[in-house]
Amino acid sequence: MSRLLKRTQLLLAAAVTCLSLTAHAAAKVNQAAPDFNLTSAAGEQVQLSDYQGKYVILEWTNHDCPFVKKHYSSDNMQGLQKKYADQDVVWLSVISSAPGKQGYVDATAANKLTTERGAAPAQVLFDPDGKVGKQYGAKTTPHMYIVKPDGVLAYAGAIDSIKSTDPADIPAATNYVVQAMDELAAGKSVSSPLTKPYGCSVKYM
Amino acid sequence: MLTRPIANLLISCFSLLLLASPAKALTSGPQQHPHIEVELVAENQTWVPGTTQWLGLAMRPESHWHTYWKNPGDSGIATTFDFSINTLNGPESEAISLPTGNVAWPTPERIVISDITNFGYYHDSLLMVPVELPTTLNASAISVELDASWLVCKESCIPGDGKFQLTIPVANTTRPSAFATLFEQTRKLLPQQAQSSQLRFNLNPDNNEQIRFQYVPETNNAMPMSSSVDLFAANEQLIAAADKPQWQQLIDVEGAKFWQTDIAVSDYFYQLPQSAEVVLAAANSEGVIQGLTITAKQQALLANRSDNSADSQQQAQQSLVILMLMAFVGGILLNLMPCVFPVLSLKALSLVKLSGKAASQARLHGLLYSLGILASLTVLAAILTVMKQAGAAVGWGFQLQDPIFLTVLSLLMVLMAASLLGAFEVAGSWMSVGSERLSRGDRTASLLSGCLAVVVASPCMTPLMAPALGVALTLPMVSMFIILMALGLGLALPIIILTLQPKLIAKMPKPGPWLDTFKQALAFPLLLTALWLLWLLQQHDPTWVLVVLAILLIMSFCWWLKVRGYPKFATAVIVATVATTVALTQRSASDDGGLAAVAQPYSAQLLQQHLNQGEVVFVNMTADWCLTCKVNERVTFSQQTVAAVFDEHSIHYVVGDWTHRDRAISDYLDQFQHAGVPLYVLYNQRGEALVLPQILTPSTVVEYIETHAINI
Repeated sequence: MSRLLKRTQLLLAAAVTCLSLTAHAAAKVNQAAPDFNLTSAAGEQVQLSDYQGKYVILEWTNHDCPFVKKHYSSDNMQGLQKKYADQDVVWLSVISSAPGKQGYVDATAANKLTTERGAAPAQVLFDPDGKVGKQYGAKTTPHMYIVKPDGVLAYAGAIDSIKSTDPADIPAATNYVVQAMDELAAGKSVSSPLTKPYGCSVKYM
Repeated sequence: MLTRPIANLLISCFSLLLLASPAKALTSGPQQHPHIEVELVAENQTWVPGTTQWLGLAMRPESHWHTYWKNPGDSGIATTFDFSINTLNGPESEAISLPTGNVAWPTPERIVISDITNFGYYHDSLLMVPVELPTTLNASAISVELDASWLVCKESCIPGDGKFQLTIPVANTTRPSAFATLFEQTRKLLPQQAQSSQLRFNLNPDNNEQIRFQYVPETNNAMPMSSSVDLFAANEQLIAAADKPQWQQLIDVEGAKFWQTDIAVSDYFYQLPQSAEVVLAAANSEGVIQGLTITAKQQALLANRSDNSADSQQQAQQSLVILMLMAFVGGILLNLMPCVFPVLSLKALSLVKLSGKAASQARLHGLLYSLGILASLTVLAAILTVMKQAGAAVGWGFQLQDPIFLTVLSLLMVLMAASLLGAFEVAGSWMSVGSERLSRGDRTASLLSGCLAVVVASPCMTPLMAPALGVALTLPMVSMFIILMALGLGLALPIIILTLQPKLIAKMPKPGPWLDTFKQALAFPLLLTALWLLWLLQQHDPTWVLVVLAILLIMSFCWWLKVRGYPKFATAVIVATVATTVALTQRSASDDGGLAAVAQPYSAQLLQQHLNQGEVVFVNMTADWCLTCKVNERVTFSQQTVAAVFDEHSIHYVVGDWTHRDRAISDYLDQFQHAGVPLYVLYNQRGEALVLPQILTPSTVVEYIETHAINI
């Protein structure tokens, strides 16, 4: 009987492994970041591979989420966007909210938000069917990713180390994106390449 | 008359007045926030220099709302504290700020909502924080300011924060506050610090998507260890929250016992830390959750001795030897069956007589007789093997995990026990023929008489043979053969002995009433076996136990009818039972034609999704054991006409199965103040819910859909 139980456990373990494999089939740190092709708020077709040779930062966002608001009302996110734009890093804001869900915007509304908030992403991308979000395993807004010039994913996770909606926490927090970018610039390996993101759940369809 | 109550009242008022001013100092007062009441309290109303004092944030969420542990699990955020504690009334230059120690988190609960697992507190909790007061403290009071923030969730989450303030006088003696008992009660909920228990972890060498934990409990461990002890890691990036541990007790190479479990790594797992803070939790005998905090170390894993395949083979061999011995003894016992025993001595005598004076001849006959028994059991083994393979081919599993096999086997045990007790005899008429044959001792075929012994005596031996055969069926072919042979040898043993030592025949006890007593006594081990089988069955699925009991009830009822002289009624009951069962199973097979094919399993998220999109949803909360539900499903939901209406208006048919008391469904039922199922709820495009009656017909359902969901 115990042998049978063992066998069942093995089968279960196999099933679980398969499940986790499908879950992990998505983006993995230190592996090639999945390519995608999305429409931007400027009406262009944007492909990740267009930016080969440059650092790309992906920011999953939803303007109505309190955790996103924390980083925009404090100008933290805009500051990062401008800082990296100056360093020739491509910043892509991705919206995976489905139509009718919180955070879903059309191109006009998206451009208005960018102007109003003084944001400076290279592009705002629409992923209404959530395909790219799920491919990257984006769970929350914000959820941040860094793709190296060679197309390898260098960082996936939270924007910083203090999980809160309070802008006052930003100065004390370790910003994982900045930390990773600094380490990469110094030719070092990223010390925390994978962190647990925090924020609102991505409003997939 | 009134003096005494009035005096009491005066005393209480007076003491209230006395307490009034310090009482104000030990709570910030409860603050109402969305879905939660939060309050900062102190254990003592005066603080003494050189002591450790405790503050606590009391969190009282509304029913079904929860707050989080330091590792919140898949989602959620732990409550955070930002204290500012300063001395008051000292000279301005000497005002000092005091640091707080770590938050003492009570042992968390596992909170599962659809596919998300969280760790936190479903009920009121007190998050305690210590403050060390230096002996040199020179102040009249201490001011405590706290900025706390939290997330309170049900399905959706509401972030909250609040500012709390307390002033606590410094004194020479400590006086407990009104909250002291709350602190005392909370201490019992805190995980205890492990003393000498060891917990080590490393990647599972066979699967690097899992972390293997190995636990060696201390000898006087307060927390009982079992396979279901829960494990919470403070580190969010170590293990998957949804993966519950399944501990196994193993033995290392030095013979010491340890517990082991494998848990899937977290989605955010990147590398193994050197150490990890872990809380083990289990309910004690009173149902109170007890926790143990332990610092797990990344270490080389202990080798499990039984990983060695030679050892496990040895174990299997040992269990086979035990089964063989049992079968052998069982075989000997078979000789004591009333149908065998009386003829045993006659048979032996005839064999001895047959061979005249040549003892060797007698021995030969005895041997042939035994071979006959073994030969017929070999045939039986072959038949069983064929049965087993044929059964496996049609999906019958002869295993103790298979509910049908367990059901049949336990029914058989009870029947055979009843037979042993004398309720009925298995093919009684055969038996007398068998006895005659057995006693005659056929001259031409001693060998055949051995076979006959098995065949003709089998009706009376069946009650005892049945369990052995049942066990044999679960075993591989070779083991089954070996066990049947052991049984045969046991059966043949008395004849062999008697032919070898004819003198013993005279010393054999006389058949008598003791034989029947013995036979009846054997019924009880069989009933015990039936009990064990039922226990296995209820672990598998409790409803099967009910099936077994129902069958037994019907059988005993029929038997009673027959005995009382109404055999026709008995037949009618059996026919009716079989017909109903067949009809029910056939109906359920035809279910597929209706809505069952488009049913979506209920989850709160799915329902919310549909409602957000302004779609019409029909929720059906059901359970396998709910008769009304099943009737409605057969009569209404399996009808093509109903399915067509659903299809025409693209109504989502969402089904929640409450057979196994699912929490998400219980929560849903609560929303409608329903204690159970069935519950039918129709949501229109505006998301307005309408609860339908519990008994439905196709026309009522269509009518409700038209009035509530379509023509609006």
